[in-house]
Amino acid sequence: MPLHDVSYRRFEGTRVGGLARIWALARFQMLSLLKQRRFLFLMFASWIPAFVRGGQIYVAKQFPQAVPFLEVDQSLWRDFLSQQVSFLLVILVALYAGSGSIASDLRSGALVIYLSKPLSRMDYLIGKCLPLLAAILAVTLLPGLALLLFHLGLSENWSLLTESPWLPASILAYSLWLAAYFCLMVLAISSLSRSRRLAAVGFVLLALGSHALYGMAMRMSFGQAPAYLSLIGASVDVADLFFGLATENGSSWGSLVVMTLLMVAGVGIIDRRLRSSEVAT
Amino acid sequence: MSAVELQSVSRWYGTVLGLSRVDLSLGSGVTALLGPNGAGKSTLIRLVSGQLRPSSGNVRVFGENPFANPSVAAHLGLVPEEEGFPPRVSGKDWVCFLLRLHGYGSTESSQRAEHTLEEVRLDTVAHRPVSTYSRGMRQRLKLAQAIAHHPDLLILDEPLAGLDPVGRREMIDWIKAWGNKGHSVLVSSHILHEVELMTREIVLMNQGRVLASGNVHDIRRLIDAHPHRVRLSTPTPKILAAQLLDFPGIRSISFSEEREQVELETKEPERFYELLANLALEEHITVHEMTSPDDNLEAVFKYLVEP
Repeated sequence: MPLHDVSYRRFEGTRVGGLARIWALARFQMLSLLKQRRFLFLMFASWIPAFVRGGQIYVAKQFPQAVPFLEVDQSLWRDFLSQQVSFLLVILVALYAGSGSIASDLRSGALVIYLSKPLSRMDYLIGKCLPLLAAILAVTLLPGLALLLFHLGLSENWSLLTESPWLPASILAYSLWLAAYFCLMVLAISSLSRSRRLAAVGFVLLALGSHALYGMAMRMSFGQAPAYLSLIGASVDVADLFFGLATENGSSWGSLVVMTLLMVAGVGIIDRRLRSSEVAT
Repeated sequence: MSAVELQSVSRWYGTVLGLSRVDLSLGSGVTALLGPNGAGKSTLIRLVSGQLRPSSGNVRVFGENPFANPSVAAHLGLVPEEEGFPPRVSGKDWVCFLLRLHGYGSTESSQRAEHTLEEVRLDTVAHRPVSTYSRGMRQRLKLAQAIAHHPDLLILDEPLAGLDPVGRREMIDWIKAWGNKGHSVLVSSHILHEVELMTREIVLMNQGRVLASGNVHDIRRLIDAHPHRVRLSTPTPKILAAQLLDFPGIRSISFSEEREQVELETKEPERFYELLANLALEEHITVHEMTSPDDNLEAVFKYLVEP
């Protein structure tokens, strides 16, 4: 190796702060995702329900006589966002963007390099969460707001917002809740494995397995089983709370509590794994 | 002030002892961390690089506790044993990204990344995905990410692993040069003869304990249990051997007239060297060469780790 000038060069410019470091990690992850065609296709496919809902709004506006069948009120956004979960689109996006997020770093040893930089574990976790949150919000919040703007654009007045002034906030809050929930779930499972595939299988088993369990419990209890038995069921169940609608069953608050506990557990698992990884490598 | 200071540091992994009451002080220059597998080298590196918290005792790097301390991490460069690259990323993007984690802006990061990749001779492949790199290139990329921010303390865990002989030689020269510039360098390795080319300052570990630290020759001198072997090349081995028999510090002596060689063991090497000089002068005995086969790192390692 030829010896070049490696004499000490102190950086004389200004170093950016902790937030910029988190952003650098998040940006790096995001760019890696955006370079993958399969991910872009998945994101596009996740917008199909939004186009269908857009058609529904268009028809309702152009053919007012159809309104009794195609009523546009805040329940449309609740149903749309719930469907994004129950149609598994949010699950798939979370799976693709998050299952290998920590697992790959553990497998390759990149985590050791990251943590040798001026980056705390919390910075690392936030940096890993941001791209995943962005991906999930891109298929929930973004189409939700786009539908709202589309509706307002077609309307002569803003009666929808007069009748439901909290609708934008509800869309925002529910989308964020879903994003945080699935983000922490998938990252927690990702942190438990060194294999992206194994983490993906684990997350699918948890999501679909718990949903199957919920379905069985529903049959056995004649429709009385609490939705929080299922990862998917709980997230659909709490939608009514965010949109201020009458809950269809009495388990919404229970689902909210269970989801909160699962998120706290998720953070605990990730933190524990990030610490233990040092020993394991 | 020492770059690295460990005071009575222990680290347990559950019931397994990783490091046991280690006291150590490292200054500038290259220091080699030696020991067999499971000796505690990686644990020590992780403690110094702030990735592990000691179970007891104090670790100080530039006077500060390094554990999860970004201000210390800013002055450290770590070349881990693992590769740690995302496969699709290019060499330049990887170094650039890690510089951003150090807080450098995009322009500065890009310039530093280019300069560093040139230093490690990866400039021609800087834009290729890391997955297409050879093992040696990957090793140099690991080095690049560790030195791009010009750390005051560089820690290398098995930096010679996977390198071909030319690559090893280059890496050794580079590490020596970096140390000679006044930086502190801690190198963990088990390839003794190559470590010997890098530095004479060692920390020898086994079973979580530091067996010896300091200059190899000083350490060898302190090992009383094993007499020092000295090999002399002389045209008159029989005469020299006969003369040396009178010296009380000699434990054994053998000679070969065919090879014109005398080999002996002594517990008092300093006195022996003095005597030999006198013999050569007074008795006109010619000595072409004098070597000490066990005054090296390998012997020290053998005597201390495998007694």
